[in-house]
Amino acid sequence: MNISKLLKIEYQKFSQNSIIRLLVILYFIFLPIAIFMAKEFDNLPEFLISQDNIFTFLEDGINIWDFMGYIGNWMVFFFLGVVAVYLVAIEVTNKTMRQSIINGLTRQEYFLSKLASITLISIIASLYYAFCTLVIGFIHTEGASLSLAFDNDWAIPRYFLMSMGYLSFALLIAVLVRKPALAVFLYLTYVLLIEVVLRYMLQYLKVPVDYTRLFPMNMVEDMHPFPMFKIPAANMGPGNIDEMLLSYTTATGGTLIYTVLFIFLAYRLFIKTDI
Amino acid sequence: MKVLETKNLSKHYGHIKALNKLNLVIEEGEIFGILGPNGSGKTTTLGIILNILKQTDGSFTWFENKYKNPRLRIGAILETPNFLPYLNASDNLKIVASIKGAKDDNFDKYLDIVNLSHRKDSKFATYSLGMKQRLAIAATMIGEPDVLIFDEPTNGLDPEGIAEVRNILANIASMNKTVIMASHILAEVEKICTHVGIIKNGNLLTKGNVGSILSEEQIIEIQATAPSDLKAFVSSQNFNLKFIEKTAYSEMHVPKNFDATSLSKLCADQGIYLSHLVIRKQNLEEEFLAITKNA
Repeated sequence: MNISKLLKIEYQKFSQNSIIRLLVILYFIFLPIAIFMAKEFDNLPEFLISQDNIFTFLEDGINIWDFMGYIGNWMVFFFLGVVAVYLVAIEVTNKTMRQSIINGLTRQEYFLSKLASITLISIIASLYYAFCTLVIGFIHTEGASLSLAFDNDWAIPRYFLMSMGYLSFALLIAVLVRKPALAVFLYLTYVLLIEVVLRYMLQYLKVPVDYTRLFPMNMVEDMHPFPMFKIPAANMGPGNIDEMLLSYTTATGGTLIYTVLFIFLAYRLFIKTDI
Repeated sequence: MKVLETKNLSKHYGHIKALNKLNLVIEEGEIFGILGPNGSGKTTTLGIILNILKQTDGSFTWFENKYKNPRLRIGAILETPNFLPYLNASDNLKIVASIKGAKDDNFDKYLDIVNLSHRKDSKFATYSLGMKQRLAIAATMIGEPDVLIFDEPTNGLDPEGIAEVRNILANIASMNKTVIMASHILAEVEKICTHVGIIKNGNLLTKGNVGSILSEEQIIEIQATAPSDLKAFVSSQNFNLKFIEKTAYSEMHVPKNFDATSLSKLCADQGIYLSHLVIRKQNLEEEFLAITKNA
């Protein structure tokens, strides 16, 4: 069965699911809206950040692509990651996963349908990020041009890879745990708490920071990190606080490896276990 | 054509043998009942042949390996009806049709067979258990499969629901399809199936057509106005028969050609008057109990 047919089946299954609808709608609403909260902070210290950093394409070191990317980082992790968990876990709960196999999907096709779904979600999420950023950026940037707008350090492909990183991790957790509530809890807790605690524990044991940064979700997060961490580097030159972050090259390489690993593990697990 | 052939099919959970070297052949057109008590390995067998469970050992083939994806030619329910609760019957059936690549999207004919047309727009979550089961049966028919598999199709249903599902299954059985049905309700199997296999503790105890499984013995249900006199008389006659006392009557297991009229006359001659005398064949339940008792 080809991918478009598998995606059609996924659409038939989930287009009427209220939880998934709600989460997707929340992503679409909050991604463009959240950045406008920055309008409230109009008296930020000039040397640190200005409204131009947040809303325009103008600033070299940090601009709207970074801020929208960071907001998207949270939105993808929270809303779309939970969607990815639900895509699998709901089917386990209702036993439609096993029924799909009984009805004639091979296990490979079933897994491919989930992989295609999270890939499509990541593509749409990235395109929406690009669309919102361009619209808001063009509105706020005087004399904006396409070449200026797209001078963005590969922000859109990074966003896509970041989304794939979160969603493939969510897929792995869902295949592993299979119970929706527990899978969502574990997914959120790992990203927000468990990995952070593990990293601090290792640092406490004198493991060099260079190694503790290589944890999977930290690498995924650093694809679109908190922009303020980049400000001193932009204003004072490299070699200072920017060392809190992985370079984009490292984060991209790491995220790519982890994403492939998550997908591979989820696949192996799904193929080998009883349903 | 051999629709299904299993060779030494086994499934172990740790040291527990849920299925032990099952060898089974089901031919085209058979209505094959897999019988066994709860936990005997019926659902495990179906789970493996439907690719839900991984066998520990052995192999199975569908349609003599004639088709690339044989499961598209099979309609099956395993244990419970499995649908998305927030979708209505039509939308759930559309998913089944998409998976099976069925061209025909007129589901009404299937819903008509199971008497669910009037509720096709209701969400699955609002269905009673009987309706869910009927929808699952409708789903098995999508794509006109060659083989239908039902696992305990009347489980959990009330008597009315059981009767309804049994009638639907009898209709399906008359459609010249191969049907594999696992059940521990033997009356159900006896009414519908042409062939049976009896499983206990993961082992296949016997298999064959229903007629050959049932023994040649007849059973005489007998009762007299004075039951103790009857028992004493039968014991004294050196019939060499099994005499089982039950609450309402006693049972005698007799050979096929046993003359019950003579027995009645002999009793009357002794002043023992019979109030109940019925000659019947041994049923599947009795045979099943006899086979599984010592296994």
